[in-house]
Amino acid sequence: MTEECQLMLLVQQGQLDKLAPLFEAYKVRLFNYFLQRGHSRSASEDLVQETFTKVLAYRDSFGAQGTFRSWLYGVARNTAVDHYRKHKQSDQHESLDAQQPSTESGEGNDLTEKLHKAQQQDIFQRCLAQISVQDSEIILLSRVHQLKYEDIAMLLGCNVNTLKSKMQAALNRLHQKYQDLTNEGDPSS
Amino acid sequence: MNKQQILESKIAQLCGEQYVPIDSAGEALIEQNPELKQEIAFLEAIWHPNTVSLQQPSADLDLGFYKMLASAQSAQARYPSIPTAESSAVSTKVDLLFSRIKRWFTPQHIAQFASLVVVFMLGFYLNSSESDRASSLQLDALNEQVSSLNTMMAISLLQQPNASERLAGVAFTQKANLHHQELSNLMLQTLRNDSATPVKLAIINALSANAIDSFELALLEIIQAENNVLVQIELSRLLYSQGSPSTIQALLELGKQEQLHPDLRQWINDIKATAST
Repeated sequence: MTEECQLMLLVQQGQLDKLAPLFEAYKVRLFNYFLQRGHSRSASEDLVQETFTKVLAYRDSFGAQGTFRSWLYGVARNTAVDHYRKHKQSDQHESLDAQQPSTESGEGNDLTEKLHKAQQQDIFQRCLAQISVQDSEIILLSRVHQLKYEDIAMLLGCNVNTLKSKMQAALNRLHQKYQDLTNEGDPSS
Repeated sequence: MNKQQILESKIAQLCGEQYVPIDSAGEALIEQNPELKQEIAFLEAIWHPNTVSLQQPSADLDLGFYKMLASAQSAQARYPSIPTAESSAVSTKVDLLFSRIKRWFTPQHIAQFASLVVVFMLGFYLNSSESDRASSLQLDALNEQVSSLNTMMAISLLQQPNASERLAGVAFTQKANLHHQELSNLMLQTLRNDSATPVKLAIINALSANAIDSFELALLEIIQAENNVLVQIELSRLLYSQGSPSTIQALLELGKQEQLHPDLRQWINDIKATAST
């Protein structure tokens, strides 16, 4: 059993303070998960808070059959769906262009390397924005949130083999978009 | 290894999953196929650390979370057995079952059952015994029991929070002894304070079926304190048709009061005009 699972089981038994290390471990990733689903920064912060409130409220539903990470992302996903239903009309989705530059420190100190990194991130974000929400979610859950195939499959309600096919198809479509984007930028093509 | 298997293996490798390593035949295929080579290069680029950057949330998030955690902890300290959403869902089902069972034992159902038993017993005694003095006494005793049962039921139902149950209580008063002190007090109190106009009107209707001589003064006071003009007029009608001459006189005097609702004043004045002709 992972350390996260053990912490969550302690939360289940009433040691609520054990939720704090879990929050610290996941707050940035969950915040980015909501941002990547198109929510504004303030809405994403609210959604992270709401997710942890639900984790506390529904702590009895956590079982040892899955990982804590997959369970947490399941709660986060449902929170996002609920939020979408409630605020269909009013929620202001933030465009990818409007997002703040990353504050994650990179090892590249030199300007050229930074520019190259920014360019790569930009292309990746643009490609993701052009594929379907379902495709980008599969890719992001694996690439950014580092969920295992089994966890993503459980989250999306499919089996692992179906997920593998979906992942491959999603990456294929992402590649197509990438080629389209690079061809647009290349005047010789 | 075909193209599909090569890509599957590469993706699994990048995702940190178990994968079948690409064999020499697969390597040869990649070398011969520039498109496949490009696709693998794209996958590697996607999984390059540079492609992903995580944004940091503001300090408000920490503030909100720790505030929520502190309040949850203090709630837990105050109520150690505080249920979670999951366990309360289970307890809700149990509560629902109990409330259904409880519904079978409402005063109304008990009264219906008791009335049925009494009527059955009445029939049994009437059929089985001679119509002599003894059976007549038994019959009177049973009638009294029915009446006291109805009085008890009416008292119980008039105190229910639900207006429809209070209405049922008023219906029971028609079969009950209205001279029962507790019941008559409760009826007057309900007439004064009930928020539901239908309940008040039903009480006036129930009173009209009985002698009201002992309630006349109280009813006159209620007319003046009442806000609903419909209830005021119905009460006035009751007093005018069944009240003593002194009460009727006092009622007609009310028509002179300036603060009285114009509709009621008009009604009283109309009555006065009819009476004088």
